[in-house]
Amino acid sequence: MTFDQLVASVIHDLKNQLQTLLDSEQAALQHIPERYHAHIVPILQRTSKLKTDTLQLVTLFRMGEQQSFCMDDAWPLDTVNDVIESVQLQFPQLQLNNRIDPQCQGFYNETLLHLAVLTLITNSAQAGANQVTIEGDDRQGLTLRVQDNGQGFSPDMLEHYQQGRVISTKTDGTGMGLYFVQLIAEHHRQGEQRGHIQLRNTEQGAEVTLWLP
Amino acid sequence: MDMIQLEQALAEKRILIVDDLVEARSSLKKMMSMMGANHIDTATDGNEAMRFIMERDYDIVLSDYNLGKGKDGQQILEEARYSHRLKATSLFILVTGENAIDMVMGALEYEPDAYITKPYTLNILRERMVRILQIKLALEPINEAIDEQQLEQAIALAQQTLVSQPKLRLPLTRILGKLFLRLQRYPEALAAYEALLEQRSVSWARLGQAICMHYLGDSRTAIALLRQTLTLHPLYVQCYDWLAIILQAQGDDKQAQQQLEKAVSISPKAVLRQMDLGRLALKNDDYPVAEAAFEQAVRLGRHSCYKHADNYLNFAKVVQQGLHNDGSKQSRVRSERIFKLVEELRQEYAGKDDIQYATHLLECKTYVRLDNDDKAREAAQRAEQQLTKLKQRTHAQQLQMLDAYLDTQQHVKAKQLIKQLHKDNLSEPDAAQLSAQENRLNQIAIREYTTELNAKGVSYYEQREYEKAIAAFDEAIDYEEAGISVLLNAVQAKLSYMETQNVDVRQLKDCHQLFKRIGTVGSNDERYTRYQRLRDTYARLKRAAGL
Repeated sequence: MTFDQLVASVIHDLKNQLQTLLDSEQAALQHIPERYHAHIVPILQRTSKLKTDTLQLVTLFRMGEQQSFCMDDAWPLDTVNDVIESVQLQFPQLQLNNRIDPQCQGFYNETLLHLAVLTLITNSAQAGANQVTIEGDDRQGLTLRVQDNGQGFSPDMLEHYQQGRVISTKTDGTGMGLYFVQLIAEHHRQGEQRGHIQLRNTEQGAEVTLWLP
Repeated sequence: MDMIQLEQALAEKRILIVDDLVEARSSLKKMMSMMGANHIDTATDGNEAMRFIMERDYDIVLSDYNLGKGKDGQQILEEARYSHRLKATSLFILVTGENAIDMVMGALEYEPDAYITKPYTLNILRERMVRILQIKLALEPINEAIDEQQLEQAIALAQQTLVSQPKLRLPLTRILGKLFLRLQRYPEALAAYEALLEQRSVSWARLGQAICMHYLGDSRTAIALLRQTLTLHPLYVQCYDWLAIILQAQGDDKQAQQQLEKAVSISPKAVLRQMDLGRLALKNDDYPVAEAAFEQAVRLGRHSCYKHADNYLNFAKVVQQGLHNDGSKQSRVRSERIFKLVEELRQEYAGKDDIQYATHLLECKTYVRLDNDDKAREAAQRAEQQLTKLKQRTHAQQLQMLDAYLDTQQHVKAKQLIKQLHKDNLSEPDAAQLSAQENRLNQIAIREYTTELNAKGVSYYEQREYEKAIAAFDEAIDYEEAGISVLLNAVQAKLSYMETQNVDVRQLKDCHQLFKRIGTVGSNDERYTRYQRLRDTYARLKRAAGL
């Protein structure tokens, strides 16, 4: 076993442990009277966040190893629904609107896009949003638009983005997450074209547009 | 395009679920029932799954990729397709863990219709099933045409669908490419793959492109494309297979073998590839590789549709290569291994005369290598008897017998067989082998051997064992080189036999032939008196027989 394989298998094990932990916590929640739930839910949310972080770690590691991620026909409606299902427990107060058409089709790696959307929704929740809307368009490549009603991007953040750097100097959670989403977008290539993201503030809050060729 | 009604779509479908883990199996079954499936069978491993598949027609097979020790989901698909038990209209869905998906997806030699990644919830499964069934439904007229062998019609339908439903470009191109390749319409296949590659960078289309290039005569580009695809997707084993095929076509068997070895190291459970590697290594005289490959082919094939006596025979032959009578442990292990294979072959192919024949030869050769002459000859005799039972004796089989005759010093029989084979119209390699064996025979000192036989005959004669004497002399005189003394000995033995037993027309005829062969013996020859006496006895016996 090479060093890299060892690292990969440790991370993989970590992810599985967290999944098991998450399952046990959810099972426990069902047996515990509701008045105590307020004490349990934060643990569950933290575990869920840890799992997401681990998934990011696995993905970053594989990207660093120049491993290829398989692309195939996929449907954004389904992908986003899966994300919504997986974060409902973590952000119960968040209202998620999946407005993507069932026929909207893309060509991407499902695991990667799942992680990208998951990261964007997590960002929105952390920015104080209680509503996130996702729209899709497959007329020219695939465009996914994630809008929230949070506090929007800081001027600092947007300025960095204009300069072509998504990661903020503060390197807080939001910047890291967006950088990760950008990496995922860029990983999707077709000929000369590669995926990218766009940031802007709307009247309600933040908007991230993810485009894949 | 409306979304299908899942419950309705699943209600009539016959479904097989394969998973080695009880919980996974029952949970998937439960979910499928909740979604509307009514006819579900479950299997715990590859062997059980194959029994189901051979027995019943399934519309949907949902198999886990990793099934523990035995076959994996890929092998089930491979066998089902190989034995034509999965129609084009039926669905094979591979279920994989998310860590394995990128390794498995797009890298399999036999592509499943779809993948489902674990873990999944009921909702995810439902979404996936709707998409999968939706696409299959859209492709149904095309697949029906394929099942009815109406390939031209299938192509036309696929081309129409490509225009009317461009979102199905990926699955349609896959079908079109395969159909064109099957019909050897390479320029059209190439065009289909290239059109897709302009929009979608998919490995299987690049592989298809390479295959077309090879058949269109541009093997160099094909090789370059395959190598390029492998750098992007190093686990895409089929690229190694095709590299091996192309390199072999170019006469580079050594390089071809290397490619197959790489493929085998990535995907060691594929029986057909192990067989290919074994044969190629054998051709390259690379016995260790051939031995390992055939061993796997035998082991993996034991409970599969690829079970083939040739694998056993080839394996045994390679094991034989390393067998010597040196009393070493290694040689003992090897000979035990061969005898075990012989045993297995005899049981598994009890009714097959040609395979039984091959087992005797195998035994014979093994004993020869162990310098056990008696047992070798016994085995050769059994082979000879078995050979007479064969309705059709191929030249290869007869040449094998010839080899066994020579191995066991049965030169007379060898010679007869050579004579017989000379009358036949042998293929070039067979003829080459025959002449090699002939040389081998000539190198053996025949004279020496006839002398020995003659001595044996004389000794039997002196003990008045005339029948045995006749047998020995007959063998001796079968050689053209046999001298007059030997011929006279043969005549004398036959005559003495008839004088003491009874007159035998066949023996008389033999004597007649022998006298003809001896010709005239001059009165000044030292053997003249003996010759005359034998002629007199012959004439007397002939009169006694009323001839």
